[in-house]
Amino acid sequence: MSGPHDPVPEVPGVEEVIRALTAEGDATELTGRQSAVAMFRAARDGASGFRSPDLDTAPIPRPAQPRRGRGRRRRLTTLGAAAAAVVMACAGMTAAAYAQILPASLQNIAHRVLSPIGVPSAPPAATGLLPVPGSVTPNVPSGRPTVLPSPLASPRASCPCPTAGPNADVTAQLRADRLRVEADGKVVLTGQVAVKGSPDAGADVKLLEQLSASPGAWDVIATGLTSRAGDVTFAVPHVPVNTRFLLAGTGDLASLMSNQVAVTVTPRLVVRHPTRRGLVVTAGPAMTGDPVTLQELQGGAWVTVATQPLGGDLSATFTVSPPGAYRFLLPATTTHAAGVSRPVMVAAPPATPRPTTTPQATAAPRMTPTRGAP
Amino acid sequence: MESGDDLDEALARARAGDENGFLMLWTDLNPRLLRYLRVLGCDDADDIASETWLQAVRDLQRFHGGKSDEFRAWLFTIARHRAIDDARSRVRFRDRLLGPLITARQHEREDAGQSAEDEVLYGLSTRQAVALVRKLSKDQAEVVALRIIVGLDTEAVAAMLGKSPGSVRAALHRGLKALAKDPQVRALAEVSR
Repeated sequence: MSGPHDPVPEVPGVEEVIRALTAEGDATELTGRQSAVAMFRAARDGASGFRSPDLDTAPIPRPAQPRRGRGRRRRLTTLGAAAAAVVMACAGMTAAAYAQILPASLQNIAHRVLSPIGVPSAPPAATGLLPVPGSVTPNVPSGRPTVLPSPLASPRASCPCPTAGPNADVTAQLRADRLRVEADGKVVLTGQVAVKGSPDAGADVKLLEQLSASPGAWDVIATGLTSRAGDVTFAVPHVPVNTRFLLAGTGDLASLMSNQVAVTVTPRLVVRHPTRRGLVVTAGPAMTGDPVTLQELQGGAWVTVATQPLGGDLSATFTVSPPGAYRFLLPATTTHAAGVSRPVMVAAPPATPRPTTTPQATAAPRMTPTRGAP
Repeated sequence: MESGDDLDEALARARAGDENGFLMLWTDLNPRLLRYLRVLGCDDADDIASETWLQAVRDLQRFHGGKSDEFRAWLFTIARHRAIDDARSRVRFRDRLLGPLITARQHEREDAGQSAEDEVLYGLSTRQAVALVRKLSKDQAEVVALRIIVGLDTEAVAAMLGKSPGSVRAALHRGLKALAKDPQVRALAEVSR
């Protein structure tokens, strides 16, 4: 590494910077020591591949490099290149599928193949967009604001969605800067209106949303005029649950309707560690009763050890037997995508003797699920 | 920081399941890991460092190098991938690429609590030095971090970043020259003379 054979060039004046950059770690950089050791123990005790501990006498063998390994690596490289070529060829289609600008049949194929990464299905036919008359948007917990106050409709009343009209010369496209956001994340939507392919400046348009919690109900959340370039941009500051957006025209352009853009929300799973043996996970967005799963790192793999429903406060409490590394999973529902928490390392209590280190011992569930936290 | 031989021994012990060996590696490398992640602009460097170590201990038996410097390169490659994944998942990656000014302003705010006089009198803290490196261009900052903070050699950095050794050397030299021109660093150098 950067030793005498590969010295860092001497630049006058930066000695103090280099000294500070290479200083010994301070207390704040070493605070995770116990958790790190707990994680190491968990991996070691669950793994069978750790080498002989008799190191004092045995030299550390460098892993053999069999010839077939090199050939295999080359083969894998070739396969990787081939796969990359396929991926590259598909990339354009994927992008188009994301933007929902493919023909419906292709869009549906893309949805079937790429739905795990958020590619939506083809929008239904125009008549399928009609809302259920008189339906009302449910009360969304976040009480999200609209981007622009709409004079056209009450934000809480369902919208009389436009039906596809005969004026096919005017077209609208809607795209989002992202199709997957974290809970309450922001999304920026850009609409483009064109007349016979040319930008339509000054077109009066409205942005509608359909929350997954209220299928059928489309709400106007903002209105705007297109710019000289025929585009209009809306920033939606909080997307609480899976939501579809649609750009529609008003007045003379009442028949105008864009493609739908589906934005998927990834739930946030926050883990607290209030007691030495207790882990509390809180999920959002989620519903009371949604199953949340606790997994433990065992033998290098995440193993499910307990599942229980979320309580009324959207949290659940699990009792664990540290040391160990844990994480929580929340399966996808109609309102959100699947979520996973960050791994948390739970160190052993100082007074508690270390549990047995046999791999079999860690495979048995050691959890005592309890009902959601009060 | 520990010598290479000590870390070689620590690595060998860690691979054998020895906690003390692992702890020695962690103690030496975790501060560098956090500094590197902060140079990359990770908001939650602690979490990404934890994830990096988690993957490292999980895959330790698949690590086929024998020397600690190979382990270091391997560990920081994991960290880099984690950091990129994290940035992508938060959809801030583009902002980081395009927004060095924003980043610099954020760091100016972070450092606002300490006056330039204090920095001159007491020298740079590691946090301030990391903030200075973050002000460099993305390429220069990462090369400076990998060469100086992490201690990787030119070849290892080039392999990690997919660049030629020559471009790594050039980025390092330019990065250090840019650091030397920073007003804080110049003031500090003048006081030291």
